[in-house]
Amino acid sequence: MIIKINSRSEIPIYLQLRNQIVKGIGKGELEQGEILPTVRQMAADLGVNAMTVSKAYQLLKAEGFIETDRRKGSVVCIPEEEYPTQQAAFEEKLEDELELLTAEAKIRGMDKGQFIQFCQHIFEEMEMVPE
Amino acid sequence: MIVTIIMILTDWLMVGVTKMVYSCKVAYRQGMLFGVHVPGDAAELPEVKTMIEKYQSWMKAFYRWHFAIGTVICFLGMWYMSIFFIAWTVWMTAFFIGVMGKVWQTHRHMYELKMQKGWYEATSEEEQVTSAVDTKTAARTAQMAVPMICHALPLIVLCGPLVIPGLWHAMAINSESWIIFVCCLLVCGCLLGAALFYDKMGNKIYSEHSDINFQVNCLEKRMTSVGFLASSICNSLAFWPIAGTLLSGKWMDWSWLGLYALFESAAGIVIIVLFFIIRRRKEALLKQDTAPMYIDDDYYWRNGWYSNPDDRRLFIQDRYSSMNYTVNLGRTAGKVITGITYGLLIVMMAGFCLWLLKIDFTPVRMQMTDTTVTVTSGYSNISFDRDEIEEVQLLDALPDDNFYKVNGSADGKQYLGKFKGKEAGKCQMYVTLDVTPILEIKMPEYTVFINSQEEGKAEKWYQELKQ
Repeated sequence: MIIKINSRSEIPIYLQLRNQIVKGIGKGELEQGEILPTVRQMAADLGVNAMTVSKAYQLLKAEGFIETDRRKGSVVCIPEEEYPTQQAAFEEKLEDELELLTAEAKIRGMDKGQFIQFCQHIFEEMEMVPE
Repeated sequence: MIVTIIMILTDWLMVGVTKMVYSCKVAYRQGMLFGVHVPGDAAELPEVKTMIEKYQSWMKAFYRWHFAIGTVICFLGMWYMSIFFIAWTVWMTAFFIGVMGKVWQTHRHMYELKMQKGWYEATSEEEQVTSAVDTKTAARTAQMAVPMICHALPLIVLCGPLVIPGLWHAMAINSESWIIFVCCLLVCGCLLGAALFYDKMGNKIYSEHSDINFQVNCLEKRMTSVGFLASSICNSLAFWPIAGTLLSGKWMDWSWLGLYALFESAAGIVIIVLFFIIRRRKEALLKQDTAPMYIDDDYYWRNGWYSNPDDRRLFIQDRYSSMNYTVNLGRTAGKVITGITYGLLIVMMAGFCLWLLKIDFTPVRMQMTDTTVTVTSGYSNISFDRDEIEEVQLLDALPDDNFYKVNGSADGKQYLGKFKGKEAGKCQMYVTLDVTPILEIKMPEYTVFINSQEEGKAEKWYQELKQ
């Protein structure tokens, strides 16, 4: 997977990195068990501070998207079963972000059909997530 | 004469390599023209065509003139070495300022045209990409270069002759062999450092396909590390003829020296050959690519050099020559390194010019008291007791001996400094070659040969020493 970073963006680099890895897992560009570059290598290739990459990896690890293998390093993993509390927290986050996006779509004159079509199209791009 | 030939060849090599590196910028390569990312059909635009034609004709005339001037200047070395070196320094500075100035100027014009035409203008923040990483390539970086432990091999090759019986003893007597050994060791260290530097460099993205990115980065890192290792082995092997010359008792014999020069030349040739192999194979790999990917960081290169304060990297792959690395001037450390490098270079060149002037134009003088004799010159001074003198004589010419320089100057006009003769042994020379007579002062440890351009001076010294 190619991760692209914009250092001039207002979004912090560690968050851009986290978001792209999550999108990569969702789209199937990063497979379960795939080894991610070491923090130092990722930082060298991107030209960013190693602490920035480390912060993104820590966040991904806390969210369960990657795990650390003593021999392999950081490995992609797809959380299969989540605790009810984690599931509830995610649903709350999803609802919150969807609410904001729906509001913006409504303000800009998008109807329900169009909005659902957009959501469906993006959802179908995610090959790893079972329907 | 030898120095003149070496310098002519050096100048030709310098002009040739520079021409080869910067002439290809007129061709559309890796999505770039004059180091600026532009669409493939941009080269067909009339303004770009004019730009290319102007660049080519200017460069052609520039290289032609500098090829001629660089050659002519070298003949000054047959007159005065200091005058030659000053003229050569001025020529070399003008040559590089001219080439880089033209490259940067054309690059800037191309960048301005790109801005004017709105090529690759990002419409959203997501489209603006300043850096990228290929996770599959980056995760396999460790497999790319030759393991650093392999650099123990040149060290073993270099130290190998030291186990030969008698070599330690021969080296203990001959201090120059130690200097050569330490120099070989330092070159091995530098090549190891260069290999480490290339190994730690980040990978570059060329394509949307991970396979292509891996193959190109692997090719560059593996071949470069092999090149440094092979060069280091050749450099270590160069010490073997030195050991041979020591053991055979024929120090500085031409056959052994030839072998030494052969191995040292091979150390450099290996790297140059690998550079061309890498370039050819890289181009072949990139031609197969169906989805090339270019990271448009032209903004940071707009002045001709890289300046990006957001980029943590200090050394960046050069846009004009992929084998070369440049400093990120957006970082304070980059500015400091560049300032110190250029500062040191200017000071060293100026110092060397002054030193050569001193050697060429300071007259040799001899001052005598009742007990001591002091010789002063533009290179070194010596002082000895009159009691130490075993024999003094005036010679019509230098003895028919094979003198070789240990330090100082031997430019075909004068012998100045420490020399060694096969029969005369250790000597201190203060001799202008076309001036006679020459005063020979024999002492237990060394012999002094001295004359003066001032008529009758050597005879006067002879008389004074005889008293």
